[in-house]
Amino acid sequence: MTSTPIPGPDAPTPAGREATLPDDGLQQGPLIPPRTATTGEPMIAINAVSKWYGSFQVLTDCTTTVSKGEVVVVCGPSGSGKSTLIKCVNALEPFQEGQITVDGTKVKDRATNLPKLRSRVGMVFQHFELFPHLSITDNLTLAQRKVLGRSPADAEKRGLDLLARVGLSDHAKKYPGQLSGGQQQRVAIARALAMDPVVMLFDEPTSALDPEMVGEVLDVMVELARDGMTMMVVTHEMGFARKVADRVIFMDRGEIVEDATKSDFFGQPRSPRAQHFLSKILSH
Amino acid sequence: MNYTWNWGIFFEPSPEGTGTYADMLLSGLLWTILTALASWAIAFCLGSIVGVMRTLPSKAARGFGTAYVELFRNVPLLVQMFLWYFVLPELLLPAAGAWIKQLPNAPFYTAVICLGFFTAARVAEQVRAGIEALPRGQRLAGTAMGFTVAQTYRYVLLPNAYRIILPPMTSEFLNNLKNTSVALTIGLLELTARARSMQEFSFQVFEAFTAATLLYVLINVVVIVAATFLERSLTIPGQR
Repeated sequence: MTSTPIPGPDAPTPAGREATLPDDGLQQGPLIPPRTATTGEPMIAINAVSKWYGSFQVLTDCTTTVSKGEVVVVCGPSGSGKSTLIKCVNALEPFQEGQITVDGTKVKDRATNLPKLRSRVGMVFQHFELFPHLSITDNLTLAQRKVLGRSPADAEKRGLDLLARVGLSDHAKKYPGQLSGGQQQRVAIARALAMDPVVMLFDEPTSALDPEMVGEVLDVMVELARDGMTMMVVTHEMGFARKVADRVIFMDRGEIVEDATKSDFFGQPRSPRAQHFLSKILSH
Repeated sequence: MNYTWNWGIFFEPSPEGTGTYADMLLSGLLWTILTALASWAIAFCLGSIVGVMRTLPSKAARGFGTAYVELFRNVPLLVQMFLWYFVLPELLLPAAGAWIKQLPNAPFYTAVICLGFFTAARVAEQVRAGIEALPRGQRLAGTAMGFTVAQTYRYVLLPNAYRIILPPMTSEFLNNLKNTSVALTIGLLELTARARSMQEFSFQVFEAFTAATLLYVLINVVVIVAATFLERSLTIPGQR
């Protein structure tokens, strides 16, 4: 365990980090260069964000921050606005009120170069969304070449390197349709990492997977968290939250109902709604 | 029926003085193919642009795309042909109108433009359908990678959309090819026009139109075979 991130001063102590996980990947080195300084400066600052679809309010006055190197799990019942909230972070969804700042750049600002901002924010989707007409290698290199302007050789080196780290080197020449769901999602994570993002967003990354494939994807995410990546993860995987989250945000009906350290959240959630949700999700 | 069959008619000299009736039909076939290819080039490019516009977030772009499609697919092709050929030159400045009317091969240029614009409306609808058939996440994924809107279309959406719509696009191509026969009404000497003149000169109506029919079928079969090969070469491994 050489690459455990040092939590920022305002981040809670990651007390419950069991060291018993299968960590084969770590022997091959970290997924990302370990960040030396996790100083607690906010990487994502969400400030009083409200959003409406027509007259229906999907987000109400959401405020939270994610510090550098912090892993924040966002959970809540379906329709609570959690996916919408993280899609606001890289401006995939517009919002009407409030402001979001990513690494010092305002998201809702005409002067902001959104494609550039988005290229620094990795995103992993529920349904993988690999580009089906491109080989795995091309999936990994396309945006590096066209957005970051890397040379094909550099892009391929970076892409294949990450593909090896997610354990799929043998599949570089294949197409997404030839891989299992779990493998596709690992490629999708590698594709996002190839852009050298400062923060990674996960939108229910395991919800579309067959149960036996959830583990392999979570393993990669755990590894990434331990390498110090700043992560905002929408998931129902409370096991993952317990393992690596620094904080847990609970949302319901578009509001952030609870924003607590992991131990507080699992120990004694303050709001009845969070208690109710936890009792349902943990009982099976 | 008092009809004298004469299949040898194709090898008799045509009254035009140059070559046989067969040569006459083949020159018509050549014009048909030229008109079809040139108008398809316009239809494919313009139709792709209009189809993409109908899927853009911008309301103005969508409005323009819709207006284009509704205008060009709701007016009969024959009427459009007449509008382009007879009416448009009169609406322009007299000098410009006269220049158009005196162009050599004016029926050809007019037919190419008319068919191109007409078929573009149909291509646009196919392109729009193809893009809308893709999972919404594909656009999001491209956007999230940092692609601009143009790059998302160029690298992510269109390569997939074109694959989906290849079969209906083949139909549009064949329609466009057969629609070239409408251009005989503005004087383009394409295959149907040539079959008609052969019938008028020689009175061998059945031979003339049998030949024309076979030639149309022949080029359409060639197109279908080519499309099948194209489809096969574009198949993505692992896709159902």
